[in-house]
Amino acid sequence: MDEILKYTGTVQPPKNYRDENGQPLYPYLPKDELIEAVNLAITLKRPLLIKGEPGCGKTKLARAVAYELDLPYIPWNIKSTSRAQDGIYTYDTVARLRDAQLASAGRITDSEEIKRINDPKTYREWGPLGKAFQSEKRAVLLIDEIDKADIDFPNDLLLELDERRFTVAETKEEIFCQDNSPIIFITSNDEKDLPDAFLRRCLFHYIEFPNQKRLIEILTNRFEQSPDNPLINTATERFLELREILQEEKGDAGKKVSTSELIDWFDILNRQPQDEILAKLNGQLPYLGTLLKSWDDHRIYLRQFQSEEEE
Amino acid sequence: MITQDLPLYDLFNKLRQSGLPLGVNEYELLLRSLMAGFGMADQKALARLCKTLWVKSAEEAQIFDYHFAEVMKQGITSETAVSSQISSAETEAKITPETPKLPTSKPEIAPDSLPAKPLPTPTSNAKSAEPQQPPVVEIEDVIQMAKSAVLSISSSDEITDAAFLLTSDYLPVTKRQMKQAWRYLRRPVREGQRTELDVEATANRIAQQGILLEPVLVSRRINRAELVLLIDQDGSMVPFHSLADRLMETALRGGRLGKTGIYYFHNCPVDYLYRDPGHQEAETFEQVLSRLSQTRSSVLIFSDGGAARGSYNSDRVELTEAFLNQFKQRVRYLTWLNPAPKSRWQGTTAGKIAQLIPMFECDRSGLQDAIKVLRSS
Repeated sequence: MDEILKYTGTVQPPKNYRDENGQPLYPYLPKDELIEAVNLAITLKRPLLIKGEPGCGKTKLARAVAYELDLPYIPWNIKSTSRAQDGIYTYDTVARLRDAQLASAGRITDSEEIKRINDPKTYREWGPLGKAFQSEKRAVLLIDEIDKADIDFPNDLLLELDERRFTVAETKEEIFCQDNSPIIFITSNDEKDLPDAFLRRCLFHYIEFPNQKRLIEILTNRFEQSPDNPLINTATERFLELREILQEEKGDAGKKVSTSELIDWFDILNRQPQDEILAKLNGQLPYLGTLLKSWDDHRIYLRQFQSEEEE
Repeated sequence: MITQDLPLYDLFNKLRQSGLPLGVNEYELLLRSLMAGFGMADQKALARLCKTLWVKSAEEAQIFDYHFAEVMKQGITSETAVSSQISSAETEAKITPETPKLPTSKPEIAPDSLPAKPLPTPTSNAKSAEPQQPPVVEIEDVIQMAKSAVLSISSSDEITDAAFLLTSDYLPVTKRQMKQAWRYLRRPVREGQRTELDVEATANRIAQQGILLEPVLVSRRINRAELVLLIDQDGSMVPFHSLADRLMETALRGGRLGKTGIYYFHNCPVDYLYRDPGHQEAETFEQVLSRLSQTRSSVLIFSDGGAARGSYNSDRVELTEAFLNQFKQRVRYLTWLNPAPKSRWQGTTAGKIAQLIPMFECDRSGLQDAIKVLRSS
């Protein structure tokens, strides 16, 4: 390694920053433990497996790391039908067959064109992993929600993640990383257990739910408020209360309100006149629709709220 | 010599024995991270580092915390004595890590905390794989350990919280083995959107038509094996509840089954099956049966069949036979897993039932055989 990359979690995008795809990018405030885990993954060149409640910022981490270190960011969003092979490369056999047919029928005569279709490389397209392995700088590769795919999926990636190389069967190309092996983040929602062989090759970090101090920090950074703003204080307080109510009723199993929902909620609150909204926050919470996503949750909250009123 | 001086090797070994999937590579990762300067700040940082490297779930984290506290506690007794010497040793070690003085200082530092244990066979190549680095790291690390151990004497009362650790790994089949077994239960069916190219059919069509008009696509194979677990609950089955839970959990989470249904009963199902272990949500036999598919569903019964208490009950045999017949009419694949060992079936109700249905002991090979029956191969 010529240079040692180090993530600090302190370099944040400027206001209204948009990435090359036009997506807004907001400040990301990682805990020290998370920063340490990220640096460990960078140094050891092992994938970092991140778990945590939905909405706690698992996916956003990779983008934030890529921004701070100024590295290319390659997301790979896993679907239930994703196959490991697709992440490496796909080969358009059908197009090749079609072109071969057209050529043999005498429909393609341009010599340039014939040269192009004679080259088997014309038809292979790199997937996210394939791109990351060939990136000049170390790339930040995000494999998002790996547990959504079939259970064979992680097992099929073992060799590629371990040895950082693969072969394109159709063109006999051998692709491998040298100094540019990507920084890989893998997120999982814990829907399915991952195979042991796969876990063994990953580093692991569990993102804890932020406490009030951190929530305030997140909101002040996101909305550029002063931390003394009474609205932020009250909103996070009420939010954590609501979270506790839900947790008591549903235990650890149910869906809890998440950081991302708090951000949405605060976004609406912030648009209202402040004294009005502060008054509202003392009674039944306004805009509950942004926080509670099922009728059950609503009922739990209303019941709790009414019993408090009676007292 | 080398094994004795490896930092945290004792902890690593204990974690391995507790069933964490760790190998030489994982240990080497620790060495590399320590050399890169991670986890050196204090004991907490060291624990965090080890956790990031070795722990992959909340359950494992609990096991880790326990063993880490234990190892640190051991460290206190042996290392406080030498802590005064460490400050001088530390400076020497850091400036010239490969100084020949090292061997003399080592035995004083870590005789008790890192007892020499023979390497288990899978890790026996560790000696050759790791040339001369370990001793170098060890010095710095043992110093850190001793330092932090001294610091932590006052806070060691936290350890009592983790003093009781429930591990259930004396069971005959580990979770991992169960997951592996479930993966064999598959009934791949092509279903859903046509996305895969059928090369053979496409080639055939080109041969027929003389030119490629459009490729022939087929659906992807997905696993449509449906599993119904019938679990005997309470009574003589109480000691096997954790085994049943593990069976259920691995089937639901670790497997790749199309659909899994869990039902409970007591002794022998009569008319009703229950969706919960507390026997609250009842469902009639007919309801359950009507949802099964003849070709795809497989039924696994988990019950001791009276073998745990070793009694023979002809009524129970009759009831079981009637219920098995009902199921046999509806599903093709049916088997029985008995948590009591085979030697105990003879002369009990279970022995009789074993003549009606393939019955297996609940160990690894028994589970594999049961799944073979469910696959019918």
